[in-house]
Amino acid sequence: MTALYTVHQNIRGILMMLLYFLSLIQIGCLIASFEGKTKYLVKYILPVFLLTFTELIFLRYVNKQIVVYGELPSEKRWNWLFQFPAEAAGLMILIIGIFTFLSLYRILQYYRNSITVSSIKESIDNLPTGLSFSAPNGRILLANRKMEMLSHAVTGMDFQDAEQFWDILYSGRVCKDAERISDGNTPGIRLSDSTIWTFGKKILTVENHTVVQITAADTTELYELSEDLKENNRQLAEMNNRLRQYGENIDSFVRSREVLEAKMRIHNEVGQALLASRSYLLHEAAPLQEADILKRWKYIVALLKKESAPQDFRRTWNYFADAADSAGVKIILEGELPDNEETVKMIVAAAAEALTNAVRHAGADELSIKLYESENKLEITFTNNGRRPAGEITEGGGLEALRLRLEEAGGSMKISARPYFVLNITLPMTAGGKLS
Amino acid sequence: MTNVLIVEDDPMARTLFEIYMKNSERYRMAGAIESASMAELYCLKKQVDLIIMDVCTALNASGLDAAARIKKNHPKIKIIIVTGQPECDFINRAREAGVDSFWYKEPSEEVILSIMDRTMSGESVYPDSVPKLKVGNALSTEFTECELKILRELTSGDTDEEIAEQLHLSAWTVRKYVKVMLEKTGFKSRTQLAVAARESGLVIKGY
Repeated sequence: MTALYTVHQNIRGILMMLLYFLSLIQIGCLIASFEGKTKYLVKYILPVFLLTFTELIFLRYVNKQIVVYGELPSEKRWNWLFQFPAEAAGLMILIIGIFTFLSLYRILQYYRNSITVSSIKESIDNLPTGLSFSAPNGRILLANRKMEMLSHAVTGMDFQDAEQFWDILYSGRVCKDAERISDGNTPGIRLSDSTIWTFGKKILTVENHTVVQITAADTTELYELSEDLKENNRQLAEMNNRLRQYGENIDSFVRSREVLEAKMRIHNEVGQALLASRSYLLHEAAPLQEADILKRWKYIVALLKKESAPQDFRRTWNYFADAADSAGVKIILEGELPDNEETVKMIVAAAAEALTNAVRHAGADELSIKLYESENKLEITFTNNGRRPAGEITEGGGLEALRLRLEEAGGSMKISARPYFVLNITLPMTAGGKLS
Repeated sequence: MTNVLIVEDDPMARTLFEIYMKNSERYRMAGAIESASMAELYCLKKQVDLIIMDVCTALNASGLDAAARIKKNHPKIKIIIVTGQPECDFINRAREAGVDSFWYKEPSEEVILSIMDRTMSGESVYPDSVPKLKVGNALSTEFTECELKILRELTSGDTDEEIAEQLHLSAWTVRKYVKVMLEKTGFKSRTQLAVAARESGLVIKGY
């Protein structure tokens, strides 16, 4: 006690200042680490109180009086507080001092590891993508280095107004080094260094404020891949189309194979006929075979005649007209048949259906077909000279299949039974073209 | 005399049938038409006892569809389907349609006439099996029914998604089947597979 009392006045002053700073730092720690969490309140308020008390005791010994409260409390039960040895009080200050520095260290750590305005800016600057936040009027709130660089590359200007920047992207009025390669809500820009950037805009609401977010991503690789994919898909579609056409033509290939087989048979026939003729000429054969050999040769001539005639000169229409003719039904055609073979096929399919029904149900022997064009459409009406239908006509298998086929080709079909049966179909002028 | 209607769009095959008819004393040509869509009309107007009909006829008309209609409306008329296509589904559909006899095209007079005779005497003549053919490394018999269904759609140039929709399968299933078929046949691409399948006549769509 006496030793402390004789401490030099200067040292006493230094100790006083140390105490003062310690308490200030401690209170600072308290405020800084408060962060709205009640557990910090307990953690830091208690040491501050302890510090204040020990300081009071310490000062009591140093100055032989109570500095803050003046008089020593008169009650005896408080006296123990001030009878602490000064060494104990000093030790207390040391412990609290260490605790304070530990707290300070932790607060520093906390700031280093947590998000602050500058840490946000620093981290978004390091992003490989462009990012900016702005007010709805275009005022920039936060933009990263990449976005500023992109603004220069795309518009040739500093990144000052986000709305203006977006307008330029959206309208495509980019500077001459850059080129817009895709538009819409996510414009894509090719820069002079041939990288491709895709921009996106999003409206966010943050604490009741509207914030416009603009992002830019390097999509060079993605774009190249999607271009490759497009090219592949185009080739695939072309291949599928060729396959479709091939499917249409394959029948004629198969037919040629059949023709070839038939030719082989004719060849055999000719060979046999030659053999028969030879044996006849050499008088090996009985005279009865003469007529037989002649018959053989006649057939061969007939076969060869058919073969030499061109096989595909008959138009689609003739398949129908000839069959109707040989069945003994008259076809009256009004109007011009279109040039498109697929359309004629469709008309003939309908005509065959109409004719079969007319003969079966109405006993008709005449079918009238009227064709007229109107507004890129071909309208065809089928009527017959048979009995009038007794009641409504229900669409059976044939008519139903016909309707499906017409509708698939973009046409339509109508049937009326009153006063007489009429089948009415429309076809687009480029109808049915599977082989388009 | 049996009156025969020929439905065949190939003039050479028609001529051959004509010769068979002339050689035979039992049969008489009632007519020859190119498209199956006119076959029923012919039966209505003319006396027809037997029809010899191809499957793939002019105007893209299916001989099988026409046969089904004629069998329904004129059950007394006998029908022989004669096709050059080994499409395995044709034979099943012919049975379903009630077609009396079914034969593959061949340039042999005796066989055709004997089938006609047997059919007219009330017999139903069908080949024991479809002709075996090779598609790539695989025999046609190695394909399952489901694979053939997908293969049939594949030849029309449709995408997996379109095929899946038509067959009420998932696109994934279709891709799986196509992959299995590629492994079986040893083809590298689906186009190769489709072309080979179509060319062989194993699957024919639209008739």
